[in-house]
Amino acid sequence: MARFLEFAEVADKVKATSSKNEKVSLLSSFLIKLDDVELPIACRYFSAYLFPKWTEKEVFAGYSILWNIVVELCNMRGNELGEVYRKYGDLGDVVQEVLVKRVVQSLFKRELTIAEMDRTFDRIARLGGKGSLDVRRDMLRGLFLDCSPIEAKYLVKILLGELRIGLVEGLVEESIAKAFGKTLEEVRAANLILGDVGETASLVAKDELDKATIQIFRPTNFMLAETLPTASAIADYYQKLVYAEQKYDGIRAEVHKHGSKVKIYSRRLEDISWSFPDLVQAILKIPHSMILDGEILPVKDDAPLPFQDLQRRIRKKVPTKDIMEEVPIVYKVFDILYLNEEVMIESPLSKRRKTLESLKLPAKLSLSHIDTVKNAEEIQRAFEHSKELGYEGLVVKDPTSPYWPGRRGKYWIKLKKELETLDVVIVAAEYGNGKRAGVISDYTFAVKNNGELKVVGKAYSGLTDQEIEYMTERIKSLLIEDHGYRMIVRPEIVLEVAFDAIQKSDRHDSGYALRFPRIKKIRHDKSADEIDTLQRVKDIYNMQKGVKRDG
Amino acid sequence: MVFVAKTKTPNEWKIVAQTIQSLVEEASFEGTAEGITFRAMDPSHVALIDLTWPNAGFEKYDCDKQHKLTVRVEDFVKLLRRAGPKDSVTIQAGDDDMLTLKFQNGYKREFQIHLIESTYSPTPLPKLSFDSKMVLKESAFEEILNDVQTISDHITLEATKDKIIFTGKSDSGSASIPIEKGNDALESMEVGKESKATYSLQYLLNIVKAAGGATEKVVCEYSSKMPLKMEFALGETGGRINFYLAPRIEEK
Repeated sequence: MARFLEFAEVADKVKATSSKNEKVSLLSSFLIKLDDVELPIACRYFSAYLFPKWTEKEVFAGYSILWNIVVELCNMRGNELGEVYRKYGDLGDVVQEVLVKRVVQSLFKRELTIAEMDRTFDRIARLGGKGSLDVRRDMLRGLFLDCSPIEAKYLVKILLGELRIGLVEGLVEESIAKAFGKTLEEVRAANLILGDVGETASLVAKDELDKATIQIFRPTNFMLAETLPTASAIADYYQKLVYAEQKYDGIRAEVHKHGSKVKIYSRRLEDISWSFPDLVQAILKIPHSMILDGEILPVKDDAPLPFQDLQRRIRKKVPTKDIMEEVPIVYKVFDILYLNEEVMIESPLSKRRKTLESLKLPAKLSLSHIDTVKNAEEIQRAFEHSKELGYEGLVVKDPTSPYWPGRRGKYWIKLKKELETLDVVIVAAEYGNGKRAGVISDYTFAVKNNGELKVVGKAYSGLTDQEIEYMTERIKSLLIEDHGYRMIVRPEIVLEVAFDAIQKSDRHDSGYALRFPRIKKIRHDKSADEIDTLQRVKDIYNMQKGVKRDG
Repeated sequence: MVFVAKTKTPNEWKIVAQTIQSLVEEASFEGTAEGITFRAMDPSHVALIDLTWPNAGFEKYDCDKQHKLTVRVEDFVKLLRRAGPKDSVTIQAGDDDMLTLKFQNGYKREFQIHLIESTYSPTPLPKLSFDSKMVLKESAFEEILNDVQTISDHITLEATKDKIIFTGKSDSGSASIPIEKGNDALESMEVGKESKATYSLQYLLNIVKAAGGATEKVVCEYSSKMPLKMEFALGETGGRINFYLAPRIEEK
């Protein structure tokens, strides 16, 4: 029985070395010692998740519950924990330091094994009903009481889903391969199909990789596309007949159906069926067992609605009848992975497409639109046609390609136009987490509107470490109000930000928000007077809506 | 496979179920020829309940082999609430995974609930020896706990040769309740070695309110910085509920 302490010690050693080879050999020599119960659990923990991603199980232990437990167990006052947190920027590291001051203790110490951790998480995930919040808290509390400080550190990190030890799932795959004498390719292929590094490890250890196959109600990773900037670049790459498929701006979704059961999974392999009862009903009418890949998008009177309408609908735990009528959806099917006991991922796309075309799809489902194209002009024409209809662009696909779970390759290439950028000014900032603890790396920014500043978003990516250091000093010098975490600053620093789209939002006082904003550069050359206006934000918003629906 | 346990009134079952409910979600009762036992820790592993209910405590008791009966405590308590004060209570289990509760006073009422699969492994008892032992009047003890709770979330017990002092301290102030030997509230006291330890009031109050209902006195035993054991009688035929609670570490 491997103790959780051993896991924690190995994790610390993995963190201590920057050599990938050394990380892999530390991990593989640990994994090989584990029994068949512990191996999948440890592999998941090293990849920073608690359960197979596709399960609905969740522990629901976020920052605030963990924070409160630690404050209570150590009988801390005021902002004592906040002070330490500022030093580390990682709650796990903080817990390791403060837990020696625990004033609460358990009746007798349980020895925490990896399997016992899993059992406890499983119990927590099964809780429900009246009083379950308290029980969850107490079970977590019990773990903290029986953990040594180093174990508690990793308990926190695993619960928060981020180890920060310089380990990614790819290295865990590599370690599994090394431990059991397989190639990384074999392990990765299995993991992409299974969507669970734990089960992958179990199969590898038992030398049963041939059992790693697509199964109904076990979501697999989505196949992804590369991007090329122009139609001619794409045409040059393929130099043959290809499919140009309209690219829809919705939610990528994998549909599994067998008998009277339907599940819809998101890109993150999470079950999102409850958001789409109308779609579930429609899918039930198809008399086959199958796995489909496609995009859910909001469509009214044959024209796409903005993506944010879909978000509005998803935000409700269970969509009301009203919102289902207000934001009707359609599932645009573009691939099939499995049909009536037959796994189809090895078949060429042309065959999968024919299979799809032979299915009778009920209302709410329709096939993606494809044109067969052979050169840059045709690709460009299809692209423009797609944009005119209000879609995002194109995904150009090789008809001979297999379905490659989780891979981004040139079997699929997307073409979409980047939006313009905005010049904005920073009005507030926050300290970062993890690697960016102790530096000010999160910026809230605004555009101008009749002499006032209106916030349109927040960004934390795009700058180099040196730039962030510079920004930290600069922001401190512009400080107006210090709220500990969050600082209000004089609006002087101008940024150029890129984004995927502009959405209406009540999160900011401008009424708009940038989707996926990233900093392109610090505009030292510009002053706050020269930033963009709210009017320009509105113009871009209207433009990206594409087709006028009232015309 | 037979398990039948009958009591004249629902009182004892109500106390048992409420006590368990104050600590855990699911309860696994062990039935043997000797009687019923139950042992579990709270989810934080700070407290433990150990129940012994010998067959002499029942009007009728029949158990052919070892039975493990696990119920969701909430369901069990809900049913027991339906029993009137003069109802006899018969609890029965057979080969199906059901637990039968029969209440009778005049006419008969019968309920069945599903037994569940227990996911917990057996709980051991802590091995402890105690330096100090007090027998306190239950009502007085409950008062003391409530008094200290007005000030603090935890209570310190300090036992010397001739008295015990209950204290509580917090940023808002302090409380101190000394009780000398010979006082009515303190039936007896033996102090082998002076003892001082601090415990969570929330746990103590929950258990005393639930288990103290049927008994006049509570036996408390502890040593410095060690767990506290409390014993509550259950009926007059040797039944008892023992409760263990881990101490808090004293701050400097």
